[in-house]
Amino acid sequence: MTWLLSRWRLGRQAEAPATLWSYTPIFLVALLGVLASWLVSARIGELEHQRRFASFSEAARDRLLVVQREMDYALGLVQDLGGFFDAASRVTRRQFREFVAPTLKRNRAIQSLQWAPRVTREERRDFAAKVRLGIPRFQIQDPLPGGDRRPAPDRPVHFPILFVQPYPENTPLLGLDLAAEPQVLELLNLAVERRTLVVGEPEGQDDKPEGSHFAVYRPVFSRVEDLEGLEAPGETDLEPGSIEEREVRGFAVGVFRFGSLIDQALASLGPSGVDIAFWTAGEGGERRLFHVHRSRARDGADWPGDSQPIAATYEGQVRVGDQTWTLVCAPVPGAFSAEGWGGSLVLVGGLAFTFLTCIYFFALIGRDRQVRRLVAERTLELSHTNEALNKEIADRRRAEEALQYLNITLEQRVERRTAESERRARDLEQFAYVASHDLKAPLRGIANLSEWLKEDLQERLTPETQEQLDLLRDRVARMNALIEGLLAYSRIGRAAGSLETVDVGQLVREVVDSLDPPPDFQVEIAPDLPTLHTDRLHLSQVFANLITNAIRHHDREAGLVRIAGRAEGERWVFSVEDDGPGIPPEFRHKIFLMFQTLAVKDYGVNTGIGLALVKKLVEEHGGTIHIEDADLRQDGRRGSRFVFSWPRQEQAAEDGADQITTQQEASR
Amino acid sequence: MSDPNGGILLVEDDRVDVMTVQRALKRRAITIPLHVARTATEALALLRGEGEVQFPSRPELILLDLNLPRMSGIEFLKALRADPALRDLRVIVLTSSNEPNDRAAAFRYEAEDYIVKPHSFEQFTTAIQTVIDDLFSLTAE
Repeated sequence: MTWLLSRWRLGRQAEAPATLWSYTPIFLVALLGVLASWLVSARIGELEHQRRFASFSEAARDRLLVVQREMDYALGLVQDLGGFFDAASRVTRRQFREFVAPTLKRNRAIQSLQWAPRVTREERRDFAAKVRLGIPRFQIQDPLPGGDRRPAPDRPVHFPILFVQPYPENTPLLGLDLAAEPQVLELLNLAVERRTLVVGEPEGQDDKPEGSHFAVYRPVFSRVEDLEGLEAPGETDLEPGSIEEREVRGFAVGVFRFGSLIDQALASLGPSGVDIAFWTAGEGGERRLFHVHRSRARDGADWPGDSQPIAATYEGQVRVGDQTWTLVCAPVPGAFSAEGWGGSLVLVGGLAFTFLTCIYFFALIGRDRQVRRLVAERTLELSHTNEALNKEIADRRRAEEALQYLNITLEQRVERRTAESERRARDLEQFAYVASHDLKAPLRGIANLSEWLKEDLQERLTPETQEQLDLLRDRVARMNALIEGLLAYSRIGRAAGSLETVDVGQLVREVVDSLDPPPDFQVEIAPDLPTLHTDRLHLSQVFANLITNAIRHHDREAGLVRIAGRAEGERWVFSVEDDGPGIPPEFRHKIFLMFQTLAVKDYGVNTGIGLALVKKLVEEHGGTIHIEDADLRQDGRRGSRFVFSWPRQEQAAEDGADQITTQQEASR
Repeated sequence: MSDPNGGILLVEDDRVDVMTVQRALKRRAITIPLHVARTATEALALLRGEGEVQFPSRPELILLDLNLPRMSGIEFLKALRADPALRDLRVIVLTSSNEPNDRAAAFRYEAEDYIVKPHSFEQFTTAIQTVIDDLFSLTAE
């Protein structure tokens, strides 16, 4: 019980840290759950990202291929146009229009298809005149910044645009000299040198009306049979391998609207959210952005200037003629992340799981605490019950103690009462003793004085006064005897006598001797009286009083007193019987009382104390005394038999008890 | 050693008892002087020579009653034995008390004898005679 109680108290003391500790698993689970969720979701995110990137890359690659194909196709158109000019030595405006019409109709990205023939300085005038026949204000012109133009200065060779389709919107181009611009001239030279088509740098901006565009130049050379007939003496100085070369007839030119071309190309693919930036690979690694294709999935958001970072890019290259363009593909923000739920799902799921686990643990710990609290409560109740029980036990013990105390008090009270009564008895005896002595002193004085009176007045006393003095002396003697009796009576029990071995027969004989009975009195002493260990003085007093009593109250001069004894258990029973007058039964209960005597008062020294003394002595020694009728008489009347019991063996009463040495009555 | 003229000092307050002693001495024709002190204090004063009556010489014997007013016989004995000048005086207790305690106390303070006053004058006379006889038989030697 006490153990449980202490455990409970201990628990109470350690509750605060225990509470904190008990929640540790929850923290741990929460930490681990969050960490694991985060890690897994991160990993899944990474995987998703990779997957997304893969799909993005695939989409980007597809776009690259499509763009490449479209470019090849566009170049092919120009090549075909060149081929058309290759095939015919003479092409009319009408033929040209008819040739390109289907192509233009199919391909909206073509800004224009042109034919720019070679015109030497010498041929310029004739050429212009010839053309003016169809186009009245035709002249070879150079473009000026701002859209104006001027007549082209004389150059060794001119390449004025003669045919252009679609015509209406490109009318201003007629007569423009391709050789006017140094870059174009360079390209043309390159084309001739390589004998293949060349692609011009993309020009223009997306945000300008004309948009970004690029030109493709396809040189057209003279056929051999044509050349034979056209040989002219002034043209030998022309450098071979350049546009000034006689073989060059002109250039087929295609100008493409880049944006439209790309849009047209990508139209074959579904919108997938890939933006494509087109960069030229400039000289010395210098790149220039010339076009941006915004994905149809963008819904109008700008690129790339927006705040969202480009998660990943895919770079590829497209070969266009002798140029290489770099395409940088970037996913439209959100385009390749729509499916990226896995990580978040795992994160959310993991967190939810963690949360639920924590709640579960929390509930578990709560239940545990509840159970503990219950146990503590039960323990407390139990301890209360125990306390109550202990209290009851204590109460009972107290009651018991109180009872015991009462008992003790009772015992003490009894003891006190006993002691008190003993003390009173002692006081009474003391009183009797002291009083007797104090009474005796004046009595002795009276006795002496009366004796001296008698002596001194002997001759002068009359017989009457003589008798009166004698009577006075008798009364004094009787008074003295009474006092002696009282003294003897009070002395019993006040001072225990010494114990000694007593031959009772011997003791009785000594008593009878000291009593000196009248000569005619016969005292028979039984021979079988025992030897006892007892108080000699007391026993002798008993015998002396009883024998004296028998002699004194005898009704005849001659009498018989018989003393006998018999063993009875632990005691001896003695009897003193006489053949005297006997005691009538109605007086027998009175004779042991103090001062009670059946004889007249003036008879000698009969005090009435003797038998009271005997009774007290016998009872003091634990015995009893009673009177029976004796059958010693011959005349039919009964005498008296005093029967008393006396212990065989007595234990010494008290050590150091005072001893009574001499005793008046015994010595007398 | 003993001077008969010193006599006997009786310390007794009861006049009849004093008379008894005087009469007993007279009966036996004993002429030894008898001085009487009625109280223990008087007796002490007499013995120390402080009283009005000058004591001729140290008494041969003191007969001492125990039941005395104010200062008891036992107290007197005690004082006597405590006094260097008086401690060797002979004392016989003559009393009506047969009390064992009194007897024991008397002997403790070196009383020579303890006599219970006999009831009859005859016996008293005999007892006195014996005391006197003892006194002189001792002194005679």
